[in-house]
Order: sequence, then C-alpha cells, then structure tokens
Amino acid sequence: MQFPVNQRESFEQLALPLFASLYNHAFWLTRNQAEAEDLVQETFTKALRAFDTFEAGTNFKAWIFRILRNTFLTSRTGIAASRTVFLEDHPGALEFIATDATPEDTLIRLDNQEALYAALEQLHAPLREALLLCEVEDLKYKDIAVILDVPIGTVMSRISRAREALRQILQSQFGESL
Amino acid sequence: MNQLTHTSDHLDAQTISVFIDSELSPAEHQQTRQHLTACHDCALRVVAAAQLKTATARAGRRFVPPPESFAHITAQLRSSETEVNTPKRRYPVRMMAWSAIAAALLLAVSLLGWN
Repeated sequence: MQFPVNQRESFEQLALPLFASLYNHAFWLTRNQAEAEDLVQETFTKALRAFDTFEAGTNFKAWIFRILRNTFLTSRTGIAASRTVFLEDHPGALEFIATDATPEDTLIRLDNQEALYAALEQLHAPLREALLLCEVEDLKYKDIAVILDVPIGTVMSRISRAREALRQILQSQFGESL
Repeated sequence: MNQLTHTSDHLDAQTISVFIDSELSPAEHQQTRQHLTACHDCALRVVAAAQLKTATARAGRRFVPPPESFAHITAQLRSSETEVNTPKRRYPVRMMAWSAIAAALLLAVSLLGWN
C-alpha cells in the first residue's frame, strides 16, 4: 500500500517522537526485545494505514498507544497473557495499610531503582499497564481509559491499587513500613 | 470522581492517588487541600505517594530501543511513499527506448539471415 507524501510526513511528525515511548511500553507488554521491536513496527504500519481516521485535535499519543495495545492483545503473546485471570472486582485485597514512615524513609527506599523495578515486575499486568501509562507516559485518566478501553473509574481504581501493591511489595522486601 | 471518601477522618488511598495525579475535580481538590492543611498524617502520605510516583516514572523508563531500530522504522515508513517522488514517465520512456532498440536489432538479424 502506498501513501501520499504529505500524509506520510504528517504521520512521521507525530509518530516518530513517540518511538522510544512506544518501544518502552511494548517491552513492558511483551518482555522481549525482538517482540517489542516487531510490535512497534506493526503499530507504525497499522497507524499509518489508519491515519486518515485519526481526528485532528484529539490526542495522537492515546490513539497510537491504543493501536499498539490492540496489536499486542491480538498477538500470540497477548492472547497467552490474556488467559491470566484478572480479578477486577477485588479492590479490597489491596487496602491501604496505615504506616508511620516519614517521607525521608520512603525516599531512601525508593532510591533503590532495582528494587522498584523488581516490584513493578511483580505487579499484575493490568495494574502495571495503567500505572505506567500514568507515570511514564504522563497521560490523563481519560486518555488511559481510551487506550485500555475501560471506564475512567476503572483506570482510577487500577492506578490506586497498583500504587498500594507497589508499596506493599517494597514494604515486604525491606521489612519495614513504607 | 463523584465523591471524596474518607476512612476514620483520613483521606483514603484512592483519593490520595487521584489527588497526586491532579485528576480531582476543582471542588474535590480544594476539599482535599483543606484537609491536608490540618492533617499531618495525610500530608505525610501525600508526600510519600508523590515520591513513589516520581520513582515509578524513573524505574518505568527502563527499555531503550536499539539504535538501528529507529532507522529501520523510518526506512519502512519511507518505503511506502507514492510515485509522487518517482516520476511515472521515466519508466515507460526507458521501456519504449529499449523496445525500439530490440525491434531494430531483430529486424537487422532477420534481414541478414534472409540475404
């Protein structure tokens, strides 16, 4: 399939600056370098093909991240991952635990990047995905809701639960309150 | 969020989470700020949550694409250009020229054979 040069150039201006972000997110989804590269490549191809359906003035980043995610979900790895049961309706499992840690205590523990990375890896995939879109991609809840195709309340709940889960993982790791 | 929820006169985890993401409605935001000015425990939890947010953003930016993959994507996008950059007529003109030369050679060979 071939595209007018102007359309391709407009697409490139919007899409190429997001390459590193898309790759980072693809890696978090696939956990594999080659698959992440393939996923980003396929995302770019699909996004260019569908570029005339992108509505100017809406959030391009949310639009292309949604294509990335849908491409992942329909991939072999994505289908395998979706077989993992996610208990959306059990927010009580991660209720806040009162702590008396000071912000300084927290900061010392959070200096340990490897510990935090390991904690992120332990998060349930849907919680981690919502959290990363919020923290790393700096997307608003309404855009994350579009990407994940869930209500905004679910985004809110997943992010909050992801943070509580992270806190609990780090807390159990360091054996103290966080 | 439609309603702020509090547990035992403290902000609940989700309210703190939404607050540090600046996603509360203006009224809820104001209400939360008001609570925070008076509640030291909640203020500490907000600071800790904000620090966790910053640290998560850092830890989450972990995977850097290999340098060649950017060039690969760019090349892939550019290979899908239209003929606008490659004029159509060059190909037919060249084809016609070669066809004419081939026809002339064929005729010459045929004439030589006949003679």
